[in-house]
Amino acid sequence: MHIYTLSFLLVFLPVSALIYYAVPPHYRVFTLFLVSLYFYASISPLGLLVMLASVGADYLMAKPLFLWGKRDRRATALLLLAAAKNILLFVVLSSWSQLRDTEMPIGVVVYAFTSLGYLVDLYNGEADLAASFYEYGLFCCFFGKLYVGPILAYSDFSRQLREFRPSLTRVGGGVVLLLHGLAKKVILADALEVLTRQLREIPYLDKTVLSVWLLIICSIFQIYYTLSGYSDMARGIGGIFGLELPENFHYPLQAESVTDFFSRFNISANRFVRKYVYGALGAEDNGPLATTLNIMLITMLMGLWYGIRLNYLVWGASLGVFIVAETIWGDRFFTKVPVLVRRCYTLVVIIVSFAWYSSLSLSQGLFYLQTMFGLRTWELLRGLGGGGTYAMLWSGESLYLLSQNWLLLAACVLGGTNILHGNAQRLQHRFPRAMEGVSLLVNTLLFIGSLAFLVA
Amino acid sequence: MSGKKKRVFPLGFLAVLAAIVIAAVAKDPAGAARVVRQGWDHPTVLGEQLEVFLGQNLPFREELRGMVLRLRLLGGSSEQNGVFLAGDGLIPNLTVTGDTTLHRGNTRQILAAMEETSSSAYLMLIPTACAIRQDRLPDHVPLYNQRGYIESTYKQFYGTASTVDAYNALLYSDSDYLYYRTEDNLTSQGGYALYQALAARLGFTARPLSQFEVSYDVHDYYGDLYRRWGYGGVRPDVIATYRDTRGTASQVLNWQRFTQRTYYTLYPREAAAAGEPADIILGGQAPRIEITTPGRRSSSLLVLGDRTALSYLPFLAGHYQKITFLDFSLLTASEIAAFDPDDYTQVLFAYSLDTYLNTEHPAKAGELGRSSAAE
Repeated sequence: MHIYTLSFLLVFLPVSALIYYAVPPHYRVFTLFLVSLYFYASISPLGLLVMLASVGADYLMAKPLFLWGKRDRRATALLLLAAAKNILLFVVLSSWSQLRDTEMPIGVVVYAFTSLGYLVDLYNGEADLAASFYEYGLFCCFFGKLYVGPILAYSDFSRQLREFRPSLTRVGGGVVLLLHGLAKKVILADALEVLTRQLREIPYLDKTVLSVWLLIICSIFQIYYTLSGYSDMARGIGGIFGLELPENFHYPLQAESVTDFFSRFNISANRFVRKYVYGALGAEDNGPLATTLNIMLITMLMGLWYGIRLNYLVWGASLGVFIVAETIWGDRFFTKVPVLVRRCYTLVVIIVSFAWYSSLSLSQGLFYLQTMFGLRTWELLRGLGGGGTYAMLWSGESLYLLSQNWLLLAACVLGGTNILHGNAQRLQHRFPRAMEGVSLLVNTLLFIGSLAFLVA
Repeated sequence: MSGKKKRVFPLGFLAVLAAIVIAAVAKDPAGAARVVRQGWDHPTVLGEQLEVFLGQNLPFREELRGMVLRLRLLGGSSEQNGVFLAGDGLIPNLTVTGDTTLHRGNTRQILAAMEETSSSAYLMLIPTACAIRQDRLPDHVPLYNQRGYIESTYKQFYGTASTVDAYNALLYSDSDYLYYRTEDNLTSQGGYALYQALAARLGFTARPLSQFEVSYDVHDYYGDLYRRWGYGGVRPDVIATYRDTRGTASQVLNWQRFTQRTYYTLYPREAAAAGEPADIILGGQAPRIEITTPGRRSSSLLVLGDRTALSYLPFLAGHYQKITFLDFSLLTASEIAAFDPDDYTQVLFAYSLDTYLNTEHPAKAGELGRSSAAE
């Protein structure tokens, strides 16, 4: 059972919500923690044990860290131990899943780094001790956010629990977000997955400039709609249970610079790395060289956030180069360029950089890059039994796939911008009553559409 | 939404979810009870069981699936589940498994069987609709090169067997209705085109169409392909029968493992009435079909093939005293071993390219005649 399945949507979620609101307020956090554990157990019983062991160990380390404080060397040692444990857990599970060619257990990066962030805050005296294990467990393992976050700060989470007031308005908002996220995942991302696979399956020697551009663009859309779909569902599920989770993706594909893209794409992960790594390294306070190194380090870490793979590292580094350039020369040159040009530049850089993210090895990434620009080397093709130094611009197969999926791609382009949302907000101000009806209709259609795609 | 409506919305949503689940349970209460029982015993599989149950019993399931297909068609996608919507009919795409050992094994075993027999051997590889009807498919669609494969395979049989050019026979046929619109098979018209190509090779003259009385026995026929497609927008098929005007009487033995039926016509209406409409031709697909036509010249033909044989066998009946058709996909090794190609004047291996490339059934030719060899 996953959050995008019928069993979750029709049974697990409503039953959990009814139980949650039916129990006395004092037991709600405990109830939600149990529900989260049951949800995880239904996906991976073994993964549940790993999660409980990891979060349990961090909980045990929290109290000494809090009591000893930052100045105590024992606290520093304990924090380093906790950091090593959580990072190792992520590295080992990510590598293990790659070696076994299986999917990584869900939520490892979320609960490990949520927990680590809390311990660092405790060490720095920026957080209070968790009231109970189940409250701490819920903070790390709330089932809605396990897929892609957002990563929360404990102070925000505990404040919400303290100030919790059940509200049908908030639940309603949660339902709307859930439906938006579900539609992104099952209508767009799943269809894009099929299209991306078809494009990937075109034999190497038949890959053309158009087919590789299309492949990379579809990969970007697929990643974006999957992650932002999960993120919206997480916020929606949070809303249904009275929790307010922050936005994690804010139209990254219409960013005006690569730096802007990073601040819109997986926002909470970016904040985490900025706060706990970039900030700790001195950010931009130690001169251009240190700034360059710090930026490269955090962009590479952001790449590794998605898995321990060399390609992700190179993806992060390739974007890091542009962020460094924007940081150093941005004020002088970049701000003078028209917005449209800035957006085009950003989009091209993002698409080209995703050649690394979307490929399975560095050589494949290089091949994609060369083909995107119409170049192929003899060295690469020699091993594949072909010849020729230039890739063809297009082939019948890529044109066929394009013609078969134009509506999907058009919907993805439209959904990747805030054109719809922005105009809807403007109309909401002018015609509030009419827009209520439109909103209800759209959400009903999204619900029906999602159900249809789930059974198709 | 206003405050009041925002408050009503989640309650309405909850009521809709509850209504959907109640409707699903009402549709199959026994299935729901089974899910609960199994979920109680094995909580970890409850989610999977529930998912399957809801997927199968969701209210308006077929309408929702139709809606998705309609939306995909609207978005330019005329290919669904490997089937193209081409005009008013369906054409399955020929996808070929990457496992080349399958068709290499088929070629090897058929060659070996042909070399062992003293009877004249023939090979006919029949292209599928997506090769012959390319003009009806979307532009630029990538297709498997069926003509190229057939030509390269035929080269391996030079000197061992006579090959039958089914590709050109179908491509240049006068008929427009060679393949069923809703089934992955040749129509009787397609069968007639193959019969003409076969006649030139097997050593007799094909009868002109004027010597047959055409009767359209089954209307509004929807085949298996239609069910795979899962959405309307397709015209039903008509099954035509071609009866010899000279009044030649053939007897058909339609052998199934536990039943065998004898018909005194090539087109038994009772078979269609008792089973599928398509069973009107020779009583339908079977592991073994034997056609005997008294008074014909004393030659006999063993046909080793697949479902496509139903299209051309009725035309061949008038030229042989005995025709035995074997479908290896429906026979066991010992059943195949009981047949010796040497008992027949001619042996025809005739497979659709789909069967030849994607299954190992043709390779079972290696079993032929094993029983008599052992004796």
